Amino acid sequence: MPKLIDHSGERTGDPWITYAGDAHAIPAGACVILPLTEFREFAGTWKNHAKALGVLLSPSDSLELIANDLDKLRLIAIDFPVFTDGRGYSLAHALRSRYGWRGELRAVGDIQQDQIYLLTRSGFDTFALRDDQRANECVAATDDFTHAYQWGADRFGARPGPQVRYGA
Amino acid sequence: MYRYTEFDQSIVDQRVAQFRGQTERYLAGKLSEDEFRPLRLQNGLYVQKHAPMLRVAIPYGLIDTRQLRMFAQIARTYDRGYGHFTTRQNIQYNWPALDRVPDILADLASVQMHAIQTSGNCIRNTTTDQFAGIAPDEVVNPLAWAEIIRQWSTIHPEFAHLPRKFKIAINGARADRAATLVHDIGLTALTDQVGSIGFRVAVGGGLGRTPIVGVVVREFLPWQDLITYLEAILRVYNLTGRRDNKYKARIKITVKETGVAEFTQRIEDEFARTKSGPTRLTRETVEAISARFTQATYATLPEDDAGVVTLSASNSEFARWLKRNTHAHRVAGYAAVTLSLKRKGVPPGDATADEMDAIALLADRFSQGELRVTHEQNLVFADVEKRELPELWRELKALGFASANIGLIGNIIACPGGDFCSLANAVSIPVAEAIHDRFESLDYQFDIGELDLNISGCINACGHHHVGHIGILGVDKNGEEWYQVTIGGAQSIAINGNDTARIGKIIGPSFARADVPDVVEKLIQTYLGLREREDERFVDVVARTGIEPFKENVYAEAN
Repeated sequence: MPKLIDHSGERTGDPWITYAGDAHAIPAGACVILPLTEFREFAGTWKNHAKALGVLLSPSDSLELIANDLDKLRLIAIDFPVFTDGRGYSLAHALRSRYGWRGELRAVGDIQQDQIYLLTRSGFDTFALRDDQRANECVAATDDFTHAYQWGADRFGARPGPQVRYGA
Repeated sequence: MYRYTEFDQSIVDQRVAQFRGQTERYLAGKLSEDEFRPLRLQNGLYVQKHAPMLRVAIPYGLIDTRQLRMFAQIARTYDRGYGHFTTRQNIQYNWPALDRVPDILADLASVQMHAIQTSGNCIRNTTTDQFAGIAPDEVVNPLAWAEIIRQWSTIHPEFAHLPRKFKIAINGARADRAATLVHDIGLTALTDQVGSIGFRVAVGGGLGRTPIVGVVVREFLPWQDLITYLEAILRVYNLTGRRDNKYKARIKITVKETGVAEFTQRIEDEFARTKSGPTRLTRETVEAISARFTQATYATLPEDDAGVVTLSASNSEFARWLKRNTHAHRVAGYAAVTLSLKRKGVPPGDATADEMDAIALLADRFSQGELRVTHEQNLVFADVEKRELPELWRELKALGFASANIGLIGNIIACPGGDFCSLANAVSIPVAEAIHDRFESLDYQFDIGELDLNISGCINACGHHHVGHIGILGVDKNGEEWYQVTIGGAQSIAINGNDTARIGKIIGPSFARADVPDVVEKLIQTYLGLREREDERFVDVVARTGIEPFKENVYAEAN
């Protein structure tokens, strides 16, 4: 299990289990994260077994495919296959600002300290860290900057975030 | 100059702290080479042939003398006593030690400067006209808008990992001196019938491997929507630009593969959704940012100065300098002056620390303590009283910056090339030097007239060879250096009354290094033979006759 953090610290007891093709590995009444294709085809079935549903998006997924199902979801995870793939930032921004998603938005995959600030500002609120990452340093990185020029999607979240305005 | 507020200062200071931590982690083995690479690149640090190279941003080319003195101090303290001014209004240091780079960045931050996003797959330094704010043909002063774009693009969280680098240029004059149409986004500030400011937006221009002129996606974007629209373009590009092949990752390829109509529609859709959001600019913001700019103060002077007229009548050297290196100013009795950094035996754009200090003294004395860096790798004093031109000329002549070669073949634009850059296929500086020597006679240069000659050491085109009237590109053939020649390119040329950029055409098979000066000579001789009027420039002749007569002459002997 990767370490999970939010802006306030390490999160223990994460209830979410990611479905990876083996339904037997998922106990009844669990909180389950489904890949997009699985969610689209079998959300109805899973709804009966699971306590709550989340969906896992890859960077190339279109948000239109879940736009009408957001009320069925409690969590959206976006995968970063490599940290230099920046599509997830725009997906997160769109989910928060365009689609009005206010539930948990989790960054998963190749997630390291040096992305945390950018991810936070793009609207992510939890981070499943790569195994070698240190939780305390990653938590601290959410505050790398106290001032910022851009209206980020973090303004929709619980965390106050940096002070945002133009310089003058 | 835009003067930082505490808010601006905090951002650059915290950026230095962040990068210091990242550098320490890298040196301690906690960050791999691959992980550190994008971090260092986005702080201006390349790993070059001999040592790291640090590229420092000179936002839209504007600096004051305190900053120039800091460049000199950095060159002395951390480098080998010189710096290189680039074609993108930056300065590069070729020899810093990696572990000292955070200290350099801290020194830069102490004079309101940074190296943020001068490299890497992010939004780069925004460039503009070196005569912004003082040009008589200016419609809208682009400086405040360039600063707004600088702030918006600085550490933009959503666009730090784009498919590829992203360059924005803005121009506000009738002549396009910022080569806007060969940028990922080219903005032209203009006014509508009632005098409101807006922007013509071109997308998908660029040089490099696939040179292409940008396409206009908006004829008039109201100023309030500038940032929202830029954000819409970047968002569409970030999501749809190719990430499978770095040679096809620039927005120009996205536009081409998606189709202009479809791509424009996607931008417009995204813009329509976000138009009334928080990125909409307010008058207060624009006014507050404009108010942070220093304002030059002007004396009431006659348009022409008698001393200048007298000296230019009796001294042809001064007269030539006046013709080539001084430029019209919107205020009567003032001129802008270009300091030529194109000198015999010195790589184009290079200046030593002592020279930078000397230039700073002159800028304090003659140009209100500010100067500009041009994309032609020269420096400009923007606010010089005409009556002081003779004295300034003498001072510049003594320093070696008064070569009257601006706009002529002696003003060669060249990237650092294979002598320094690990990307290069071939050297550029020795080629520039050989051509410079061949055309050293100023009489000859004046006879040839206006001519942009650009040299790039590789297809990345940092020397902008595609838009040189004569362009020279270093290519690798079986491990040997060869040079491909293009003619007829122009960063800005009037075609049917409209200014546009034009990509040069390759004249034929490439040449050995030693032959390049002869080839240029033959091109020039062909031009001189074809020229119908004194003021018909090389590039005009190529536009009129096509490349054939040039090609025939150049390759004649070989056949």
